[in-house]
Amino acid sequence: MTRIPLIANVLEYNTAVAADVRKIVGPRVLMLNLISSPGAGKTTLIERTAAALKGELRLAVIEGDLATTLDAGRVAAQGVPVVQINTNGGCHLEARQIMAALPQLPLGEADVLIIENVGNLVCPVEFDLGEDAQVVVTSLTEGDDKPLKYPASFMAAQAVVVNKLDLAPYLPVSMDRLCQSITAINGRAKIMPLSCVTGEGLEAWLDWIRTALRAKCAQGRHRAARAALQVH
Amino acid sequence: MHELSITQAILDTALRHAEQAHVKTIRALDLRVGALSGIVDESIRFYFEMVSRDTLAEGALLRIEVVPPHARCRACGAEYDFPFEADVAEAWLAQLGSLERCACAQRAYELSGGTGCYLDSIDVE
Repeated sequence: MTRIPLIANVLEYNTAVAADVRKIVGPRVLMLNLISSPGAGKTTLIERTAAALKGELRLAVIEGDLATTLDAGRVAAQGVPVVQINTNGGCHLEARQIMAALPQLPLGEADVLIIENVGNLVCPVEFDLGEDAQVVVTSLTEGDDKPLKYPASFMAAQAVVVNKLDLAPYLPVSMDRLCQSITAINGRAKIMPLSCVTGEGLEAWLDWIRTALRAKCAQGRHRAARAALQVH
Repeated sequence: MHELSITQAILDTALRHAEQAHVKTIRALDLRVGALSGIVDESIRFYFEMVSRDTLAEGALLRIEVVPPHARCRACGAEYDFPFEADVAEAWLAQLGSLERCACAQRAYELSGGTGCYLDSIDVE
């Protein structure tokens, strides 16, 4: 018997496709991967974001669900180009599915591409989709212990949106404890409590998107300038 | 249930390397799975039996090492062993708080590592 050493990343195929997605999406479009448990308010957040940014930033959306085109219908009603991916039971999106969806979106006329992953706080985190940032959406109704119970999602997030802030007076949930739990898992994630119903806190989220887009475009220009210098 | 696609990826990776080496059988696979990866080793075993049928890896032994996460100092980036207990989420904050003070004199930690899934080696004949 012989041992062949490999040390191979099992997800290297997905990671390679994600790198291709990154190239196609390009340096001018901010790509976000929204991850949450079902019912945290991802689709509502996208609706509110689209409405608030109308006339300022152009959105494109990829919706992931096990079944139905219900979410795509809601997003399309906001006048946003959207592709629905049905995973037919699959618990997460993979880069190859994003790759297949990209040609159906007018990327040349978009500033922000939002992927709404399948509602699931566990499985999506291992699958790079080519995004610039993972955003976890949690909500007060889920309790303040979810970051500790589902650490991987929170660990990988650049930002955490805490939705349903309007319900705080009715829930035995401590915002302090929730923020403390998120920070214990991931001290770099920007935490943004908001309510998609009242609009409270939404402006911080919109600002985060604006800043992330500006940072990406600046980085892209920097890279292009460096590449141009190297050619000559 | 994402283990099905991950197990398929494990098998594909193993088969690709086995075919490159022109071997007849894969006897065993050594895997490292992050404790925070959300990948359940029992599911991998279950699906592996299914997807490896009629391949070079049918009946192969799976040796799976679960890699615990570390605590990382937010100030200087130094990493420390972290006594991770998957079932005691409530104790995490306390555990992080009770870690020895980092050499840089800060006392702020966060989790690091413990993700991903790697195929370290295959035993072949």
